Amino acid sequence: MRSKNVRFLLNLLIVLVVISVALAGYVNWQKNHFSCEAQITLVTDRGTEDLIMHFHFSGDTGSYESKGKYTTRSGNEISTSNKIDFNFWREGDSLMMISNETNAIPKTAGSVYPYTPDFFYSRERGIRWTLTRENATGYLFSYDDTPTFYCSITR
Amino acid sequence: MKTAFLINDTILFVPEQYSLYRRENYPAGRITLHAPASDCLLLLIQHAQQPVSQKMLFEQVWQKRGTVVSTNTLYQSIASVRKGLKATGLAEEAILTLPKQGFKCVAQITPGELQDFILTSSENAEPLTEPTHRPAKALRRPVIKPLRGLRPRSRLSLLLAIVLVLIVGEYHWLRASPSPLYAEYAYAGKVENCQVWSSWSGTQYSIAVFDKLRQRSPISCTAESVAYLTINRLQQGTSILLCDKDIAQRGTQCRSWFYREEGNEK
Repeated sequence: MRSKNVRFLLNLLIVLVVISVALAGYVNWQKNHFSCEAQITLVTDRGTEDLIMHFHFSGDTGSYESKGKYTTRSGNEISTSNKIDFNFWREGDSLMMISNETNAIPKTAGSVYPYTPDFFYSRERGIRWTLTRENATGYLFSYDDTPTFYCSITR
Repeated sequence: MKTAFLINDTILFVPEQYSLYRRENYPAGRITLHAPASDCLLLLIQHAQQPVSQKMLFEQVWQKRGTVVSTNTLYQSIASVRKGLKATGLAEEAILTLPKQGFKCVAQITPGELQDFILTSSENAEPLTEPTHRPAKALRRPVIKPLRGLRPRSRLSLLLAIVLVLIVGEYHWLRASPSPLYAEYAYAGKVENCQVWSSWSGTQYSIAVFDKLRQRSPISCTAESVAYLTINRLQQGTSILLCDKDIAQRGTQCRSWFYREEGNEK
């Protein structure tokens, strides 16, 4: 009986070690495999753009989609959208993203929101975010040390 | 001076006391025989390795006291002797029954004085004879005792508990990215329904900035809304993150406003 108990505990120990290793792998895997959604309003002295953004990260590649509405100071409204494929990697707390294909509408770069980082409308442009896990269900994306948007994890 | 007999080098028989002792334990562990049984044993020992007839036993033990007993009484007395020897730790059969003849003592008998057989404490530490079962156990114990502090099962249980704690710690450590940014923000006050937390420590200035930004783009708060204001004079832009509850809570929904001036353009 005692021998059986010891064998059981040994097996349990092995299972726990396997779980530990698997957990470490899973958590690391999660950092590069997730999707999230964010809402942001960009405000300048020329106008305002409301955006809903979707990010999808899968290993070392990802995609970005956005739909929005740009409102000029004079009250004109323009629908906007974008779809970007990108490569990415982690550097500590930072997330580096390099655009592959972009599909910004309207086509004229910077016409809607002149201060948009070129990552969003040109190929092979980079952007660096700092990611902070604020809670179990979301990341805070900061751009140049300023919190920019909160991305709720959807998957 | 008491006469004694050493049986198989392990048991002391002292006829005068009708007693048996384990030599190494003397005087502890005394086994007392009733007088006829002790006389039977003495007679068998005095004729060790020789058959002793029932008739002789009857004559020398009972009849000389003027008593006549049955054969069963004789057998009971011999049984008492055997039981006494066994109780003192003699594993071997010392007295054989010889059918239709009588009995025979087959043990190794050493006659002498009781004092000659008593072991000193130093002699007691080293067994004089081949170890029997009991001494073997006594030798094993000191080896086991130090290990009893933590038995294998207990050690494993402890190890399991440590591994579990490590797994939980590992999970939290792996999940943790930099410390939550807004945890360091200071509470600036309440503006309408908005509970404003600011990266700036001055509450009045923070509230003034918050009001000014709201004028540029309307921000409406519900009762539980929390607004995180980041005033960044040196870097790019200023932001407000408006959440339906404390951002540290699971499932929080937030929307952000990011303000940039032409002078901020890169």
